Amino acid sequence: MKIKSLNFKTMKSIKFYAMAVISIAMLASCSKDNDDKDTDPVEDEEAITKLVLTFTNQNDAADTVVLTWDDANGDEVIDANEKTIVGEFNTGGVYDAVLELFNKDEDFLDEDILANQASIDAHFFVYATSLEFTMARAADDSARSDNNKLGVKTTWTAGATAATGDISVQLFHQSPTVSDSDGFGTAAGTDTDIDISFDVEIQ
Amino acid sequence: MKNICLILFVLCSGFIYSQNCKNIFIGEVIDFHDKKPLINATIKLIGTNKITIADEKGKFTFKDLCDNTYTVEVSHIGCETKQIIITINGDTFSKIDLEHHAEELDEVLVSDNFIKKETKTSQETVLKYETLARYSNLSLGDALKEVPGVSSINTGNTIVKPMINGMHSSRILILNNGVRLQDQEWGIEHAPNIDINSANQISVIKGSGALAYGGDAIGGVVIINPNRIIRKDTLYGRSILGAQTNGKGYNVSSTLNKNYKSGWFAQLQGSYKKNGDFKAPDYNLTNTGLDTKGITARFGKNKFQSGFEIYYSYLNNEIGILRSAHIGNIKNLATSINAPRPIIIDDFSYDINNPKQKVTHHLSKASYYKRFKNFGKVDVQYDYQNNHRFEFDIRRGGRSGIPAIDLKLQTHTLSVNGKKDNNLERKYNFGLLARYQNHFANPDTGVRRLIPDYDKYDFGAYTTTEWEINDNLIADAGLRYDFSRIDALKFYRTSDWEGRGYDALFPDLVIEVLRNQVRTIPDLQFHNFSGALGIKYSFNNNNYILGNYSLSSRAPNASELFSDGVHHSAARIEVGDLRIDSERSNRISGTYGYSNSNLNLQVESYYNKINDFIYIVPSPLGIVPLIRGPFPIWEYIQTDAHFFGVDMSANYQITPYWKANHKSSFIKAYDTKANLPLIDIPAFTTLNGITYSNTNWHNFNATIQSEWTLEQNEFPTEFNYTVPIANEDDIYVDLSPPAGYHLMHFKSEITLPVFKQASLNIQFSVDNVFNTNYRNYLNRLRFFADDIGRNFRLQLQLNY
Repeated sequence: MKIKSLNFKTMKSIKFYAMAVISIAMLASCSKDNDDKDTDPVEDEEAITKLVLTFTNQNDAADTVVLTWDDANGDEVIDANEKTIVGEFNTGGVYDAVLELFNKDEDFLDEDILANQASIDAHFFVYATSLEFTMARAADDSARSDNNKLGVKTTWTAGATAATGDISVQLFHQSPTVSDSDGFGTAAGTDTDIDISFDVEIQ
Repeated sequence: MKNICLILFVLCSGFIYSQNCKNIFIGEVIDFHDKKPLINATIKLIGTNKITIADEKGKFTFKDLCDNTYTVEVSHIGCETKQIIITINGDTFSKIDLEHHAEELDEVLVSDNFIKKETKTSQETVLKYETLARYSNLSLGDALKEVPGVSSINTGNTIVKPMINGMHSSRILILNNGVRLQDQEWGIEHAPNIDINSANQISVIKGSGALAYGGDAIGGVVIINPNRIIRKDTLYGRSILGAQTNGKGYNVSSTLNKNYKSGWFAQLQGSYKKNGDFKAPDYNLTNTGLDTKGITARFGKNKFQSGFEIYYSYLNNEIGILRSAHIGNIKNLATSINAPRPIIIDDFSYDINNPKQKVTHHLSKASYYKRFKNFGKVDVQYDYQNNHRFEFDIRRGGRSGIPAIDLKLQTHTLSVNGKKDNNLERKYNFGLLARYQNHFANPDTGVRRLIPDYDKYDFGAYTTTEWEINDNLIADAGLRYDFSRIDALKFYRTSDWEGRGYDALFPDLVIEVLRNQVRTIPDLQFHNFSGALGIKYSFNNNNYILGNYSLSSRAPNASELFSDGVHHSAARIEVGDLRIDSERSNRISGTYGYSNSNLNLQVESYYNKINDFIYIVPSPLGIVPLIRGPFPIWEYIQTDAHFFGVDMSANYQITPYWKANHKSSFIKAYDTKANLPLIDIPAFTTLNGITYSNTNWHNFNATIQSEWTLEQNEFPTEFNYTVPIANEDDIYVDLSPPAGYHLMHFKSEITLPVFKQASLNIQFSVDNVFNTNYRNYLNRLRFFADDIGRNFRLQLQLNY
């Protein structure tokens, strides 16, 4: 009988402790994490919301072609009305091109790609066109540790034939092998962060 | 010496109280659960030579007793012997209850080979510890494939989600020691947070027959139970040490149990697993390492009349995802599918880099039960779970240490269950459940929330009955009602909110308009009814049939309602739909079983019709050009679907040493509205093996197993894409199933006695003996790499 009553008491105290632990746990966790007013939307830190590719004729600073995509509605989709193309290329013209990338007000290129050598090494721009262009990466373009140039600053020479076509830009992230030998660049890999094309004209 | 003292003591006490020794003690021995007399119970007065037997009314009489306290020992065949203390003061009457049906009332462990089924008429298969121990280095999903009709949907080899008759994730309910697992099971790459080493027995129930656990188990129920409690003074345990060549993996696991005759028990279990990069026959699968730690502790008291348990388990998984599976857009997916080898192959490493998952799961519970005379048992349980999931992605600018996904799910559940079993031929169960859940998506990730913050409230009530109509026929039936409410806070992009027409449908949900986004508070409620009806008829000792009908209803999960974002390894945008309502399944099944001393055969068939079946399909919006490149949009829709199939298993003892086994499963599933085959349905699979065993050679046995999976020839080819590329050829993305495959496996074991009461079990096995290249349709990394190649495994298990 003695043993029994002892067990019963132990039982009772264990029940008490269990209930105490439960009530505390309940109290602690019922404090709402998602208070509707305090929660803010998350702005994507790595989103590219604006891309500007500016071509300037080496012999005529007034002869420019500016290709812009600006994600006005913030949905990451390249809507047709978000692309603007200002200017045309002149046959035989030699153009210096500079690429700029933004995440809203932040300079994405500076902060996320050109920030340090490791970041430069993790990226590579590849260009393509259906028009008659030759292309080279500029001498002052950032260089990767594997001696391939990143492709932010480039030089484009328009051919002799007038035509309409497109220019496309791709940004590869952590591509296993890249090459800048033909200027436009080639990259293996399956992780692209930018893949956009613009309709342009050589006249 | 001791005996002499005892005799002296008895003599002395007799002398002291000798003044009145003419008392009569009349007693009655009755069965605890139904108050019936226990005829022929033996009643002993300890310390005297008095002994008697209860008559046909359970009554007994002792004469010539002195005023004193006596220890009375009552025993009866099949009952636990009981000692009680009786004070005799004049003529005395006392009722003594014993439990004669403890076995039927599921309270005691009868033998080591005892299998406790959870249901009587459902298609249930029980996996015992001996089987589970072979999967010590693997996962729950791998072990469950022992059950015919159970397959898995994988992301690589370490994220393995069980699939029952073609259904997975929220359609499968997993119970770990009586606690329904709440671990963000909606995600296809979210494996159940269970350490297989903590399980002692697992029941797999196809369909939703087990209503006590939930009414939404359209696919099935998996019940994981730890060791059953033995009521005797004992200390025992086991330790497992394993190693494997593929992935250079190793695993350790230990369990220690302490039990007392008084019913007190304690158990401690821990395990650790690690492997580096796995290897396909031709190349390393870079970044497929795994690191798992698990601890389980429980203690309590288990007596027939009452008991309690405190249980805690912790699991921490760090899982690498194949590096080459991180891709940019749908063009990249096409490149991966067409490439003969993965894009990134590095040397072997134990390092787990991004992309990876890191998930911790805490589960704690406290339960108490009490048994009432002539009624049954009532138990109360509270449990709390904390599931915290981090997913690390390939990021830039020093963000690789910041998770891209950081979701925390906390769940509190309070439940009360009653079991009325004073009539063993007609048992009733009933219960109530209340649950509160909080989901929190940490905004510090710098990535838009994939799943929003929400609070969820559930309430459930059920009743079931089990009726033994005669010796051959058992019937059961049940009803259940579930209410659930989700109160969420979600930011929609204004373009999406308007694009989906929500601005017209749900204008009241918007509480604030921000630049490009709207703040909304969806508050959704679901009422669901479910029911089940089943019979088991045994023709004789060899043949039986089961028939079952079940209605189950499942409310949509958070992913189906709210998903909103890019799914990287699938290269698609996944979009939930606020308008999604519950899906309802009507499942009928029939089973035939045959067994004699040589042959064991079971054929299970089913037909499952699901109205408003929720699944994700390519959206009519097609492919959208994101800045990252083109992405197809997939969206959750509701349709009508049906699933049907047959699962079969057979074991045949050819000679005393040779045994053959067979398992196969056949399933078909269609979207009946769109008239399309459903995606991700397992193809016909058959497993056939032959085992040699010889108990004289230290229980040696060796098995050669063939695993043959056919190509899935029914695939909705409409789900493939053609991606138009300006001024170039279109890119065709072919998601069709890979070819079928045939694998051979070998396993063997021997059990050696090592020292007193301890044995050492040694297992050696080879998976994929011929190092066959293959891709599994239900492995989501099949687009990127072959499955793993040959693997030698050695496992030592010490039982003590």
